[in-house]
Amino acid sequence: MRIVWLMVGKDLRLEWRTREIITTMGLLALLLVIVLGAARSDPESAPAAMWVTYAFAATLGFTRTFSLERDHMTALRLAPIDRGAIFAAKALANWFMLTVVQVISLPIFGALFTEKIWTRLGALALPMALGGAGLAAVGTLFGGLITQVRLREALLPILMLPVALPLLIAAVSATTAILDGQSLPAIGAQLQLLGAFDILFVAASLVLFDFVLEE
Amino acid sequence: MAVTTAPCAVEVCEVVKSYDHRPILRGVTLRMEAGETVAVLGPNGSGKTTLLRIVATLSPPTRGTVSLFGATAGPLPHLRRRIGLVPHESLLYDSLTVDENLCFFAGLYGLPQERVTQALDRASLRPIAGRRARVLSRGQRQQVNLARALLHNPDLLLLDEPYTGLDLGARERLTAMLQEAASAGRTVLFTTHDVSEARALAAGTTVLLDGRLTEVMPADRLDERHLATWFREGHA
Repeated sequence: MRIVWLMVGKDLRLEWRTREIITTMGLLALLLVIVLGAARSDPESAPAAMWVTYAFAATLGFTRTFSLERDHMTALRLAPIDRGAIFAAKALANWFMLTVVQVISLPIFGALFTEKIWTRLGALALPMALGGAGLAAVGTLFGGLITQVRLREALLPILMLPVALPLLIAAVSATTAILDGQSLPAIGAQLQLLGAFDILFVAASLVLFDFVLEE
Repeated sequence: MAVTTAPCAVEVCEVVKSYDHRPILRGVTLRMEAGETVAVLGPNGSGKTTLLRIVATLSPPTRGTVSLFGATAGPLPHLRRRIGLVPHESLLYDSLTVDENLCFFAGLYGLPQERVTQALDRASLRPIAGRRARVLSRGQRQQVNLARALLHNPDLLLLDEPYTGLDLGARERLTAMLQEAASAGRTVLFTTHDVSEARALAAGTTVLLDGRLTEVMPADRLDERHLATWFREGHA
């Protein structure tokens, strides 16, 4: 875990100094919220608009994470550290950055789509955290896979979004139910699906990341 | 009484490397004793970097074998711990200071903070320790890169064209650092296309030609005019 926190600390420090990834993700999220809100701003559309925004902001940000690390990957590969630790650190940093974007964009969703977001903030936190973690896990795995590939910016959404589809459907479903006033126990099935997806992808990525990084 | 001999530091045997069926290395054989310094000299595109990456265990050979310190080379943590690499590109994080960069890499190897202090002092980097890597000159970056590669006291030091883009002063400082590293008993393998760089450091010089090893000779016997003709005649 020491290595994981060392790398997360480094990534967050770099981001704090450059604000390169958060700014890019945040601007895209803002643009998407406004466009989606202009097209259809009824409360029923809010969950889909939220998760479309998060998914696209995630693909943009996660591609950037690995692009910035590309030259340094040689040093990470040579270091006597577990490859799973590299994945865990990158996924945690990605999750954190996506969470920041989620938090920043919530007030705009509240203003444009439905004020119910304000009253259901506590309950919304769980599907947002689980959905964000799943997106971070899938995005980090595929982001690592395509680090050395040309056109990786175009490739990541093509690879990541189909795989993340069950997660996105469960997240939209859970968010819709919460905004409709249902309690967390009532949406246990969706939350379990989100949790299972997270566990599956984190476990698989911890094993597969060794192959992802080696030539 | 049986005589036991120490294994070679680096043993590259008939190594072939191809990318998309295009051969880069075509049967390279190279043997380096522990503590030896060898320059791989060759024009651009002759496979120098590819050879270095294979020895660094970053890229597996298409055919042939590589042994490091008697063990078959591969992505093994205990072998990689013995390797220090200074690739052509900088491995420093631009937005971190020199000190933060070295602390991060020391952390990856589980080294104490004192090791960073020692590295800063040994490489005379103390005055620039608080500067971000982004604002360093090419020479300073290369010095920090070398200090980073030496942090964990590797037995094998690999450098890919370490002098590229350096002015005279930076070259001299880097040469001094490399000579110190070599005199500490490290095995040093570096690539260059400059004869004077090869002479400055290496006792034995390996010459690559279109992915094949053509000659191994002492650096002081290198004939500059012969090499210039050799490079010019399109062996790249």
